[in-house]
Amino acid sequence: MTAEKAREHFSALYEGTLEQGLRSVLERKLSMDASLQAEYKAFQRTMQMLDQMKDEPVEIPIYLSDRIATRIEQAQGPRRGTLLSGWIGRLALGAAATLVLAATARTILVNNSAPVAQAGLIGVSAVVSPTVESTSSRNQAMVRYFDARPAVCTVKDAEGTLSRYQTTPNTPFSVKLDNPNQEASIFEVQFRADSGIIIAVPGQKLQVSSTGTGTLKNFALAIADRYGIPVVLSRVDDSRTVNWNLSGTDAHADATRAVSGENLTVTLTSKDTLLISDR
Amino acid sequence: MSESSQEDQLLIQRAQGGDRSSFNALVRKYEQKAYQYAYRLTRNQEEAADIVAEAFFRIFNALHNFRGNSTFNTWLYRILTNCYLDHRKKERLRTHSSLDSSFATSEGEMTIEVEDTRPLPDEQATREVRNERFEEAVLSLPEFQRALIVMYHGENMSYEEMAAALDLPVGTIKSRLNRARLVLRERLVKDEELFQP
Repeated sequence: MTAEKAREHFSALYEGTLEQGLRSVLERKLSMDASLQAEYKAFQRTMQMLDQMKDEPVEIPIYLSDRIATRIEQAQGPRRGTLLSGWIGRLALGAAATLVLAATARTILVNNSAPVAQAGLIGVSAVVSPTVESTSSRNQAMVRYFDARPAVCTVKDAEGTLSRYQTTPNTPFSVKLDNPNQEASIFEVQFRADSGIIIAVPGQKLQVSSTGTGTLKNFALAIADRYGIPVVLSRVDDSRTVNWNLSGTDAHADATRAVSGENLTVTLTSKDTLLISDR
Repeated sequence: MSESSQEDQLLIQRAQGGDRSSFNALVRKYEQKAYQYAYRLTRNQEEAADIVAEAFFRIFNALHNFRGNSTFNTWLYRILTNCYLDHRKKERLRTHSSLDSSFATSEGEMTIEVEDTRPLPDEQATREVRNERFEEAVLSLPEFQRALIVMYHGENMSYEEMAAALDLPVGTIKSRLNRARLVLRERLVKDEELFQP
């Protein structure tokens, strides 16, 4: 078997789909050709990097639906435009959602009718999840949501106070979480039964705590306290126990190290938050 | 047939009958997935959004011809891939010379390499640098090879699904994808130290 022929079978060998006889020949070739063996090892590393591609989250721009609608309407021309205008109207950014405000200083509502930079984050699942962003104030976090379906946003703060908001389909919705405490606090936010998240919002001051044992909620609070960034727990059993030693200056690296072996993924989002989710 | 495919079939039938809300529902169901694919191909928000918009425009115009020989999902990926390749072709015609000029060969597209004058990575290269170089290497692949890579590794499509979407035999898909992976491997050779375990 030539080296060129061997390379043609690298993928099948890696995926374990090579027929037994051919596999034996290829493995013998690799064992006798150090250079080719090194090539295959490098190929394996490339495949491992590629295998991570599907786990990379992609943020959906807020203007996507509008872009699609406009493209179709442009092609239809003015005489057909009215047929789609209702659709475009529903897709476009419109009036503020209907609100039910609770009398609490801990949740500040901001309704955006202007375009915002990002609309949502999709992972592997097709479920629409809210996104969380840090703000210019350390003790605040912004939750954004965008869905074609109506939803009721429920926010529960550390005191147990509940706030409820009605979202409008295809209209950006946002709510600001304000933590007035010195240390980090937990907020629970839910839009639909399948999209609840827990957010540890930093307090007014950074805390020194670095080591500990506790639930994922406690862990999220410890990270928020030490590094001053919001931490989101999504689709995890927040009562799971972890040990942590947050001794560095890199929140993402320290958090990842703490949960290694736990089948959890830690992601530093482009919105300066840390997202912990099930692998 | 999966529940999702059954739902698609119903929506398509209604849309073919003139029901715009059914077409809207199809768009809403697939626009994010379509964008994810287009973004992974282009790594550019604007370009990805344009490609998705163009794809749904083509679907809107061709829906009356859709006979259900493949799933809507498969058809969508085919159209998205064609929109992406057409978009890249237009971009190349617009710019006479660019950093990744390419030319066609019988194997597909080949890219002319330009010398990389960036400083060598630090010995303590971070994971971000490694990811960045990896992403650049994927972006430097010829478009069709890039599409194969993203379909399989990004969109988690099977060889059979890719074959249906691209209208090629499964064996051809496997060999071309293997070739794309080998080319990617060659592109990463100059950054080998970043990828050592």
